[in-house]
Amino acid sequence: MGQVGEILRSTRQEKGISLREAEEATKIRLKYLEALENGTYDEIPGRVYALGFLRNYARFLGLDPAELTARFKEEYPPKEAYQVEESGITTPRLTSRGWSRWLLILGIILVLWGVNRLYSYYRPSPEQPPAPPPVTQPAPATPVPVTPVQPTSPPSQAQGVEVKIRATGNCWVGAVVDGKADFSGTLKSGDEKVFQGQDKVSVTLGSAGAVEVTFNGQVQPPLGKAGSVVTFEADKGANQLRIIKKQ
Amino acid sequence: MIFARDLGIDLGTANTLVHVRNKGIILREPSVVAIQRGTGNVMAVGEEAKRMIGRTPGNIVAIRPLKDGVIADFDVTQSMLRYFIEKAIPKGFLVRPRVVVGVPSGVTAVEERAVREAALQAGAKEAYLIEEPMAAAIGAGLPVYEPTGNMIVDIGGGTTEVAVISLGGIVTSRSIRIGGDEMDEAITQYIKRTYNLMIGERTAEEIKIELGAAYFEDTDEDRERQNRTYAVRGRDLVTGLPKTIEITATEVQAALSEPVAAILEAIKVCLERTPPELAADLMDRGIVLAGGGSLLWGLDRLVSQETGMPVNMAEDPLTAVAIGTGKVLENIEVLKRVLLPARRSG
Repeated sequence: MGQVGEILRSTRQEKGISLREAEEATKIRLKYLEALENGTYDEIPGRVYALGFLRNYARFLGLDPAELTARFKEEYPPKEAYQVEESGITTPRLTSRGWSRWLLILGIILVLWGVNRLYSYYRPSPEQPPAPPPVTQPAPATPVPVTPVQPTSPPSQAQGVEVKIRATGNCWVGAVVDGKADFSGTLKSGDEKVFQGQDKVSVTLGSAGAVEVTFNGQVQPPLGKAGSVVTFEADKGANQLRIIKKQ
Repeated sequence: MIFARDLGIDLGTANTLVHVRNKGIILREPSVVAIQRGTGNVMAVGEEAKRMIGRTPGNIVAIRPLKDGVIADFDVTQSMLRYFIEKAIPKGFLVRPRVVVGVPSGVTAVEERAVREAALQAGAKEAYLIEEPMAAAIGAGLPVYEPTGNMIVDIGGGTTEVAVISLGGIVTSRSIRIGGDEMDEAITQYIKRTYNLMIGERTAEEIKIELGAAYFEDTDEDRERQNRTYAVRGRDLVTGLPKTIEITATEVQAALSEPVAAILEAIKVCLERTPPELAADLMDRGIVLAGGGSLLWGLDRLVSQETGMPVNMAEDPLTAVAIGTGKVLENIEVLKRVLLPARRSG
């Protein structure tokens, strides 16, 4: 017995109207009027019809249709429409399709990310400053100290290597800057040559006694006698030149 | 869901409603476009354009691209649809929406194609069409899939659709090009004839909403309504000057009797054509009214009296079609067969 049905029945009885008369006036079938009064709403073929019948019946009885329908909705909450037998088949298919769609999107995002990583890895990056963090130096295989340790100041120039060679006599000089051959020729007495590199400058002198070498602004002691062939490397961050070969 | 924003569109003569899946109706605007004469540039769409109707200077025209429920001006309809779709879905969305558009049941293949094209041009991925009475029935919550008859009467701005639906299909239907606009027109004509007063479309619509009625009974509510009057402002046809007159609800009822009779006639014709088994079901359950026109005072009671059947109003008559298109999108796999198939024409 629903509340709404109770109200309908008592109002109808108060007014002394029989169900048959109500049927006549509202054109609503007697069995549906009874269903409304008894609260057995499932007998009415659909929620829309139940609501419509209720509204018409309430109006016929002189009740407020809006209030009654609001109450009716509380009593008889809407059921999910279209839960037809097909939905049993379609629902899982729909969800699996939804999953695959999400997986596809995830996959695309991953691929895009990977491509971006690869691109930035291989691309030369000119806008990046030349390696600000200090580079750990690999220990040289045969460290040959050129001179006894002398008081040195830390390298004044943080970036790059600068080697200046000033000839005091004739001397052949070959230089490799950052792994690339840069210069090869003979310097005459008084000539000067500056090699600037990012990481490493490697120089071969034809006559070590005939030149004066300046490394990052510091004059180096003579590397050998006149006529001796010397190859040295100037590493970034190092204080001294490293002699590779001396003849 | 961010990706799938499917749209249900009730492309009505008077109002266009857009329903977004899982969000409900997000847009309800008059189907009016204001364009610049000459260049054809769209100046305003929707509410803004409606306010311009009848008040535009020479270089602007406010037009309603849909007449009698079908597309009268293809280009303008297209730009209007695009505007509404863009408004419903913010720009920058990657995925284009699926769109279901409600069309009158009597559309020709050409008109059908025009709507489909307009939706696709406006940025839809797929465009489906659904017959308006079917959408209205689904929107009103009728059990359309059961093997029993349901009758829906959708009174829109331009058309009135009457259909008997059973087992997910339309058994008999009747579409007449009479709707809310026709009622406005009837009021305008009546006032012109009786008072020599010209009134605009918007005024006529206001009168219809305020006073319009199909039927009065001898109840307090009805008597109160019957005694209402309305001050109508318009232009006197004799003197050419603005003038105000008083009009009563009874007069408006008389003015509206013609379109109302046409609607009743359509319902009766449809009932006549219904197979007897379904007619018995209809007798039981009655008729469901939807669409803005069904809000006309007393119309449900008049139909009930004339047909001897119970008449129920849809819960939200104005939005029934839009909600229906939305429900179809939510259950598109289930409801696909209620949609109109894509006809290949040439």
